[in-house]
Amino acid sequence: MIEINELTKEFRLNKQQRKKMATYAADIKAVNDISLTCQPGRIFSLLGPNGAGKTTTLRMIATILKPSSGSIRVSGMDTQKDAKKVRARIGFLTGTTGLYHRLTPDELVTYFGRLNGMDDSTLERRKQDLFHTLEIFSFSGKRIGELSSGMKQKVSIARTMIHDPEVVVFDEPTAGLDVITAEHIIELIRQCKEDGKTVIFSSHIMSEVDLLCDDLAIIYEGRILYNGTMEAFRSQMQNGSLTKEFIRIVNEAKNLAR
Amino acid sequence: MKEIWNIAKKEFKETLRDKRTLLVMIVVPLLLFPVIFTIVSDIQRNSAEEAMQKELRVGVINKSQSGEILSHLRVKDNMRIISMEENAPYRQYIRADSLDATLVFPGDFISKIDGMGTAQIRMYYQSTNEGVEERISLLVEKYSERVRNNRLADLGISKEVIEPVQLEKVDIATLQEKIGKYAGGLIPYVFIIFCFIGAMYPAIDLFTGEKERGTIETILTTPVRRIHILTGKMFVVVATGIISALLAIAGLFVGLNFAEALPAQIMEVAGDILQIKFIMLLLTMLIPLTIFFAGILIPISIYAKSFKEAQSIITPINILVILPGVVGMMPGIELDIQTAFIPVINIALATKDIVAGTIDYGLLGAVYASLILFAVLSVAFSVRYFGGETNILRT
Repeated sequence: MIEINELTKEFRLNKQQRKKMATYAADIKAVNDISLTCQPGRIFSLLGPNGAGKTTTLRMIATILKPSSGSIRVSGMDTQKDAKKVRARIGFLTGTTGLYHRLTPDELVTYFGRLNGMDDSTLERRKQDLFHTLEIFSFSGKRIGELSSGMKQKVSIARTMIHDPEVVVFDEPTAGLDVITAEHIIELIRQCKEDGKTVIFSSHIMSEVDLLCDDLAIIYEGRILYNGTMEAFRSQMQNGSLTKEFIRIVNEAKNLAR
Repeated sequence: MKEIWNIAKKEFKETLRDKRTLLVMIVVPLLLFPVIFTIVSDIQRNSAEEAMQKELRVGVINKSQSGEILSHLRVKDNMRIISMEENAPYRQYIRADSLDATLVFPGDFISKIDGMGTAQIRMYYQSTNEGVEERISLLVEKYSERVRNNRLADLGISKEVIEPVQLEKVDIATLQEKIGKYAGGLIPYVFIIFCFIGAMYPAIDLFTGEKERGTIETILTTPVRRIHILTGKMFVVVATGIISALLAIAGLFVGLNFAEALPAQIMEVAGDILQIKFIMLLLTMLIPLTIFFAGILIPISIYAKSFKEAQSIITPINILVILPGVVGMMPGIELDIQTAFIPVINIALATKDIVAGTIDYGLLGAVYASLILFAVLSVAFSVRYFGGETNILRT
């Protein structure tokens, strides 16, 4: 369970950034007063164009960034007061996540298991399970740098799931991946749902969202434009296609701001 | 503690699998001294032997006047005398290296010698041609001495009469001091450079590398505290710097044992440096210095977006490390209460004094205080910088 309450994140702008954004403001609100809840056993999708604040929100959930105001609770624990405990319950994966190329899959997954405080026997058992399901065994002793992108993605998944996290955060998980490799991720997200985990993922690809999610929030310039179930979203659509409806909602917000 | 060790162990493993780091950290420091020594001893042996053993071709003008001076030549003097006409183009011959020197005897040479006068011989030579001037001067000096003794004997004068005062010079500076003064700082200084270069690649690889490869988020989302991540990584950065320096010391040892014909001064200094006590003392200075280096290298590596950017910032800093060492080599710059507080210079100057055996323990204390202070400051800065969320995610 993830509970986000009136969450805001401000970034200080330097001269260069101000020039680029054509603004005189000293700060920018990357995330502006958002509240939402992600339930266990359901897939929550954060949908928005580039620069909407998706990554910032997910990074705050993963405790990499600290909120400027508001709060986030993961499995009932505050991300600021209990950051360490929160991190132990979270799996975090992005489409651009890299791996240590000079380690083998076996060494890498063991390393992350240890960093997550797992004891040796649990770690070994869990690793065997994951390597079996993901079919990693055939290349578990090779250097990661020598693996294909599909194999690397499998290792990435094993790294994310090694400590059996209750909450899994995916930041544009299929960005930059080919269809076959992306399929591993889609499979993983489905599996997480079946296992009763809380899943939140960000995307700007409507078809992916359509395929997977149960709940949906559309975010634009740090604000939430829509927050509800996928079913409710479909029933109130003014356009025939989800993509068109997404564009309409974002454009409406754009025009309102002018 | 276990977490720090987990991080450090993995970083060591990765570092040792990186060919570029291995080259800079192990191969270069290990081979530096043996290679330098081999080259130095080769050059030394060849040029010294050549200069003394090569046959000198000496043109002589007016040979009939040369008297006994040339008849005392021996085989071991290895000179070939070529009698020449007065108008021969001997200057050209010397320039063209077909002659090494030409001696011109005046027409009254024998009569001057016999008449107790001063006879002059003019020598044409090139000072760039090593050993020529020394060998001929020696020959003339020997002859002059012999004639002088004969004259004194003829006149019934003892040698003491013409030498009323003799100055006896006693140099009480030990050889160790003389060498320490000039070279004692140089070799330890090489170790300082290796501490820096050895730490440089791992620093970039362990911080900028994580950003570049997109792995930084994965480690930040583990329950390990950031300070522990930083400590583990910093430990590896410092350790590789120290290992590089130790390997350079090992290289020095190997080089000394295998290189032949090294100049005695180098052997002497190196012998002092290779004493276990000196190495230990040096290490106690190099460790805080390397921590200081790491404390500078790490924030830069955290800030940089790519390997390239990190290198372009660190390269000018390289000069900042080399420059103080050069200053420390300059004559007249001594370890005093000011220089004792300047990192890098202070170690170069202190080791110079330690090798020379003239170290002031108060100043040595100041050197340690300064090294530790700078190390603490730079580490504190690193900790702050690593904690800053915008720095570490800057892309």
